[in-house]
Amino acid sequence: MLLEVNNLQTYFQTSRGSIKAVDGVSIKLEQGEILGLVGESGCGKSMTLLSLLRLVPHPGAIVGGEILFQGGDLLKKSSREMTRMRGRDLAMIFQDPMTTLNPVFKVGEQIRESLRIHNIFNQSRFSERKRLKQEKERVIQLMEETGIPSPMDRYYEYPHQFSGGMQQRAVIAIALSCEPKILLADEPTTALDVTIQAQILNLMERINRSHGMAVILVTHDLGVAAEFCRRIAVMYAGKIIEQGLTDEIIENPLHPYTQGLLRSIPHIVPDKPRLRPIRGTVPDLLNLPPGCTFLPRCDYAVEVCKEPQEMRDLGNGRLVRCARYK
Amino acid sequence: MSQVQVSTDKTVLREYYLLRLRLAGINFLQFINKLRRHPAGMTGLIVLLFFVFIAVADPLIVPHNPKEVHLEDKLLPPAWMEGGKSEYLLGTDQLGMDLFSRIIAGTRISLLIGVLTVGISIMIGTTLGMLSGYYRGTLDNILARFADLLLSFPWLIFAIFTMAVIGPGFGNLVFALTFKGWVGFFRLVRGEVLSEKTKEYVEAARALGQSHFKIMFQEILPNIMNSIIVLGTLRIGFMIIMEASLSFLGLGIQYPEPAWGSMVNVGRNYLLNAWWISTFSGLAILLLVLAINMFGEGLRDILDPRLRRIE
Amino acid sequence: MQAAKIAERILIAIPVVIGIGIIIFLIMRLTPGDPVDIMMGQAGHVSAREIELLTEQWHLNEPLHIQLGYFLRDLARGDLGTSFTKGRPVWDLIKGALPATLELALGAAIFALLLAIPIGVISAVKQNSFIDRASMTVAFFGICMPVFYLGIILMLVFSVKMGVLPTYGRISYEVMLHKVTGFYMLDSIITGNWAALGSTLKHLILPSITLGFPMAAIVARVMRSSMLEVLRNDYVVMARAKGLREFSVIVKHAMRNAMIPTVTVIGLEIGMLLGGNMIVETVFSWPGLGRLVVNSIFVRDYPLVQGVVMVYAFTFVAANLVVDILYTYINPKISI
Repeated sequence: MLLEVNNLQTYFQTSRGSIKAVDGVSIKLEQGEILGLVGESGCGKSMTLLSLLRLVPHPGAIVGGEILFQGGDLLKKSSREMTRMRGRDLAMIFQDPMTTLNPVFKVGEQIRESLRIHNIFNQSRFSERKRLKQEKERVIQLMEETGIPSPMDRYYEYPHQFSGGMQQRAVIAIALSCEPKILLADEPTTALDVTIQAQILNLMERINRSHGMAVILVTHDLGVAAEFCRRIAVMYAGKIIEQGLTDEIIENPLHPYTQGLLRSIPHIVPDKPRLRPIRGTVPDLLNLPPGCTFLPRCDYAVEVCKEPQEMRDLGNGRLVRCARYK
Repeated sequence: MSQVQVSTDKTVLREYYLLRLRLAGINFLQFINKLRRHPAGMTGLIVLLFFVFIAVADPLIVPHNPKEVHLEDKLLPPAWMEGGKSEYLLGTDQLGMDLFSRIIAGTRISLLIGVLTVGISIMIGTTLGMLSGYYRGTLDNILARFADLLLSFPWLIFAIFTMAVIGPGFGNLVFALTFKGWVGFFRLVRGEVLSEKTKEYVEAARALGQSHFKIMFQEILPNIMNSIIVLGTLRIGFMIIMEASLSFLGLGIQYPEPAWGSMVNVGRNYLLNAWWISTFSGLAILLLVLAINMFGEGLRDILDPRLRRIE
Repeated sequence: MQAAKIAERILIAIPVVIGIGIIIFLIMRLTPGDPVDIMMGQAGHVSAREIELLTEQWHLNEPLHIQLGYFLRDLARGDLGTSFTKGRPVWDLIKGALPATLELALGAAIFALLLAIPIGVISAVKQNSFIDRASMTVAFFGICMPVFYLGIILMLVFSVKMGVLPTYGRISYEVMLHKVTGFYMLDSIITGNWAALGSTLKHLILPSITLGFPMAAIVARVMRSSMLEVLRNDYVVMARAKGLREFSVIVKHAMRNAMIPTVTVIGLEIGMLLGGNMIVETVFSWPGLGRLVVNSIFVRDYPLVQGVVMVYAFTFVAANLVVDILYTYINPKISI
């Protein structure tokens, strides 16, 4: 097992009470696997990713759980150790490439910075000039690999001279630079045009295969997750409510929320049933219902749903948090 | 659009303006409510009102005529210090004029200068900015260039230069300060009009056949009034500092007129044996400007959140 | 490419300089109570010789547009006229006073920036902490405080009460300094005169703080708010996710971006520095341009007033030109 997250809790203390953005999330990730973390915006999926890097913004804080990675708990590491692991062992790419690259630095230099931070080329026999040359060569190679055309010239350009798709490729190149074990991707295609989306997903798939890099893909788009991931975890109001192999979840969704999500995906196929949106809205995280958090929007709600629901293990990695399954 | 019935019925218009008036009333109440939850702004307002009260009541509350010379009582320290006399609360200057009375009398001068210069600046700046932004063209070109030129003079240098040429005095001071003061409002209003002009309500007013004049001053102006008020308030504080600085240099309002700036200047020669002259006169300027700016920043937070720096 | 850009900026500045000259000319000649009126009317304290000099220097018996022509011609030649009271070319007098003013302005700017930028950054990073609130309160005072009052209070505390710092001038009388450049700091270092350096520094402290304080206040506020804005950006999170230490994230990634709006404000604040300079030089009897102009106002030495004001205005234009050029370097979206 590459990564094992157990009962992770990330809360935000506000003047109106504490918001449980991540409320007892447990996930496992194997070497080279792609896991999809799916849910509506505000369900805590991005916060889960940031928690893995221990980069939860103020006033949020990780208040419980463990993140086991390579035999150690990330939450027990010193902040110095953690800093060293970021970018080297766990890398992240973000939703909006336009704002992810620093506007005042050349793109190539931003990629090179990662190599420099983690001393990728710091054998003592290298002189500074030699080292710089090696780093630049590596950056050019990374830019080529991520499909940035004429990297020699693009190295010296600024982010605003790149298109959105190219910027995301550059961000991926940064993430890839130190050959991390895990790539955390936070809605990497949402801000892009549909055609570019497919290109970026392809690129990530290729990287996953050639580098054996595990990926956690956070997305609100079950379609994207279904296409790209081996396993899917569905998140709702800070909790994971269903988990399993992609095919099984798509073929046979168990949780009413997952069923609703699937029905909300538009299909181009003509004889598919009409879209049926899930009624209601995402609950206020400050006033969650005490029992099943999906209760107010659920078509199958019964008395027992008013009590907190445990995750039920149906075997074969299939987990669901719903009273309808024993 | 052509199907829209244009009603010129007077009663409809009256209803419309009554509604506007009521909305303005509601806005005002809301504003007061918000201000009450803004401690700094509220403090500023209270202190400012206190200063305004002093300025208005000035002849009734001064213990002495502010220009009355008492040579036998010159350079007396404040009343609580050894050698001070109780009738001169904050002491006297080198001609025995009562500092307390002079500071009270000076409030009127400072506030008057601030309000007058900003008021005239707003009138000129808003009118020109409105015309300039609305009609564009040659007028806009000339005005904008001229405004840019005035902006390339640092404030004090322009004011000092103008005062040096036209000589000291109240009227000249107002003239020198508004000469450059209108530019800020001109640029603000012009910029706002340029962006407001493209909005739907202006299009609608135009489609309804409103005159340009009405579109400018009845449709657009109320929408940019908040920004003008905010800038205006903050500018009053700035103008008061300008006036004090000029008077300090002897170019604004001159001794023995009780202008705070010139009082600080006079006291400068007596720092060794009569520190209170400069200290208290300057403190009055600082307090008034603090109050105005606190209130002004409160106004900005409430009325014009776009201008607000994230806190 | 960069050179072309710079050349373009300089070309844009030329009409501004001419425009400033014309405005100064018009105020001098046309405003009610202008020098000519005063001189012709109340010649009591102005000698006939001086009126003659001015008439000759400014070609007052020619029509206005001819006067303007002469004015611009002299300006282009760098001829600012001759002072009445000192009987010397205005430009010579300015050259003599300029180093003192520049030394003071530099001192103030260095004080302001060294103080304000770190404070703005720290206040933003530690938003709402004690240090943030305290420094923002001080900064607010700095904005409301008239420069002359600050100078007098500092003088009262550090010179009159505590007696640790001098109240006037650039250097003590006892200290001899061989003047090479006119910049006393530089001169004392060149000549290895450490006593003079100490004395110069002591004399420079209060005026620099007085002049620099309002600028520091504004720059700190702007730096803080632009830092706050920058810190919300994804690229800051990205920099952390790359594995950068927090210090580098702030100083390298965030600050570089926050400097962009700050530099604009610094450019504008140079105007306050120049204007405040006149006041500070008056308060601390600093023998620079500011005192030269303020003194010449009272003796109605109009050529000198006009010349010094022109130099101030041109300095402001030049300073903003430099800031503009600097701006193209720190903001890649503008350059090339």
